[in-house]
Amino acid sequence: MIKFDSKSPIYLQVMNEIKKQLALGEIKPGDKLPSSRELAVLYSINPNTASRVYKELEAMGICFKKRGLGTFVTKEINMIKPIKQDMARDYVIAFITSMRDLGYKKEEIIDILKNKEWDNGID
Amino acid sequence: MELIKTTNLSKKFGRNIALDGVEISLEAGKIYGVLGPNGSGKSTLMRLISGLYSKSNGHIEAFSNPLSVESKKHIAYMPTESFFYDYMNIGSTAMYFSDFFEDFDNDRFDLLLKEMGLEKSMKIPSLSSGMNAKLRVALTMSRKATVYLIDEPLNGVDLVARDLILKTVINSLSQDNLIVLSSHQIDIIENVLDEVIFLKEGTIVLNKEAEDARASSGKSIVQLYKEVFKDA
Amino acid sequence: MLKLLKYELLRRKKVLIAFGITTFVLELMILNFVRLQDRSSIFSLLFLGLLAIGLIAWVFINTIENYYSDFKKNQGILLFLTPIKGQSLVLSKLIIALIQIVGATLIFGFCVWLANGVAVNAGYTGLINLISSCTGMDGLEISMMEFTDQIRPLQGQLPVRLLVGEGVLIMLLDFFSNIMIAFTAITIGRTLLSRNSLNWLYALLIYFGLTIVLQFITGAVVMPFILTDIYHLDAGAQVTLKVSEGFAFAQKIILIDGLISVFVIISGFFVSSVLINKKIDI
Repeated sequence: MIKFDSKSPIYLQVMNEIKKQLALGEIKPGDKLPSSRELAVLYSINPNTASRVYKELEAMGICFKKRGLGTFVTKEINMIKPIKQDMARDYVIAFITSMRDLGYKKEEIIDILKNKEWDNGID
Repeated sequence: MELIKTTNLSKKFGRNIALDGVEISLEAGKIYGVLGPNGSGKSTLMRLISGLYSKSNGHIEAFSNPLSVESKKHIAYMPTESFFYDYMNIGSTAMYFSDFFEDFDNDRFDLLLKEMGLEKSMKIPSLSSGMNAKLRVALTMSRKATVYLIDEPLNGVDLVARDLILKTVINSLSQDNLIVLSSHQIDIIENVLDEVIFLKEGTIVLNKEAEDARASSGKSIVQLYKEVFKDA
Repeated sequence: MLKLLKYELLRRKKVLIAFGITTFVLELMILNFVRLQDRSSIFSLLFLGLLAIGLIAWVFINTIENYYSDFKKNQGILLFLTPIKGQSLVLSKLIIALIQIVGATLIFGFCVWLANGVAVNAGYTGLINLISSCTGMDGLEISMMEFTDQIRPLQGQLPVRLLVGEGVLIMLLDFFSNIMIAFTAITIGRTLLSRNSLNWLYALLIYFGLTIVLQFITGAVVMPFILTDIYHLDAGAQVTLKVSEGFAFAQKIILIDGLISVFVIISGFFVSSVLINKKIDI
């Protein structure tokens, strides 16, 4: 159950959630994923949206459907690493964009990161 | 596939105009949300489609035919109020549904009943409002109907029951049927909806795909709702 | 239809049981009065009258009240969500009313027969005979005997029993059509008039209105027959009709009344069905 924000489509947010679980190893290659119906119930979303999540993930090669058996995570391990990298990249871009919005320049951003002034809240 | 279509649908009660010129087209495989403040016509619309009200003007088409008694066989409406005879118990309400609705699935009902923590021997007058609400959902969703019209299913139910009801609704959708929900708890149902219909004082002020509405406004349905109805 | 009737019976379960017990107790009291064979035996007649009135009232009130409450929110929703046509709904109500009327008549007949049987058992010729003997109300028996004396010689010629039977039937038919008028009045009230708390009053007024109109129509239809039959007598003949002509006349009136009742029932049925199909708002 995640809190959805209205900035981006729900299916994308669920996809990211699944990708995150993959990157973290909470879901492993070859694992069986919940049916789209179960996914809808799990996240309290529309079943069509849930279907779309899997459709998009399938298009990305992250999962595939085995007729009559369900949807499974790809066994190809070299699919997983790029996911982690992609997500990290997305987060960094989002971070830099937000900082730029605040008025920080590139060097200032690097300094802040180096100084670890932001360290307090994170261990 | 279009299942329900209304053309210029109006309903008057004396001088009170409950619905005015409502035009909607409902397709199979989707969950619709009819949203609006009290008295905006949500229940009226559902009651017109389910045959509890008769229209004042306009047309209603169900399954490509004018709405008729036949249509009721495939339309399931769950009203906001209790609608059972006092002498009944839960078991006899199921018997009634089973007797009059061919699409009633007794096994599914037994399952839902168990999930909701209700028993067939319970007498109707002894049910709390929350239990009554759960019973109504169980009975309605145990029908294998083509059109489900569910009026405020989350009213007066506890958190656990709420999740259960939502899960039941989600699980009932197929490519051959459609579900129409109305609720005040928009934040809870917003992500379940394919399309949203805003009703304000009997007229439609918004009729869009939920994702579209969110994307084009950059807001959640809740925020949109507050905007549209802030004067209501 | 059977399913509808099943639920009509189920919802009356408690009332039927109460009614059964009351009737049983009343009949015991009646039989007791008969058994006592003293002045108090007149009460058996009184109580039988009470039973008759109670039965009529109960059938009428019960059928009407059930019909009315079916248009109310809760039960109305359950009923009108189901895919049944207005015709089926009204027909099921009529059948149940008919069952109740016939049932009540049979029960009353049984009670009378039982009371009479006890009287015969005690050595009298019948209930009336017992009462007049024990209370000294000879007038009761005498008038009965006079009447039967008049009729006896005619029994070969005229179907007296048939007439009595017809009389009973026509009374039941009239009662039935009265109930249909009440149904129609209620339907009109609930479908065409505003659904406020005074709706029962509107229905009542419509009922009275329709009943009065019906009286007029019946009178208007019957009047020509009365006039022609009276003028049928030769000039100078006595005003009293010969019994045979009286009976023929009665037959005619019964037939007319019966036809009107049937007409009322059929038209009430159609009006109610159409209104339910087209104008219902629960």
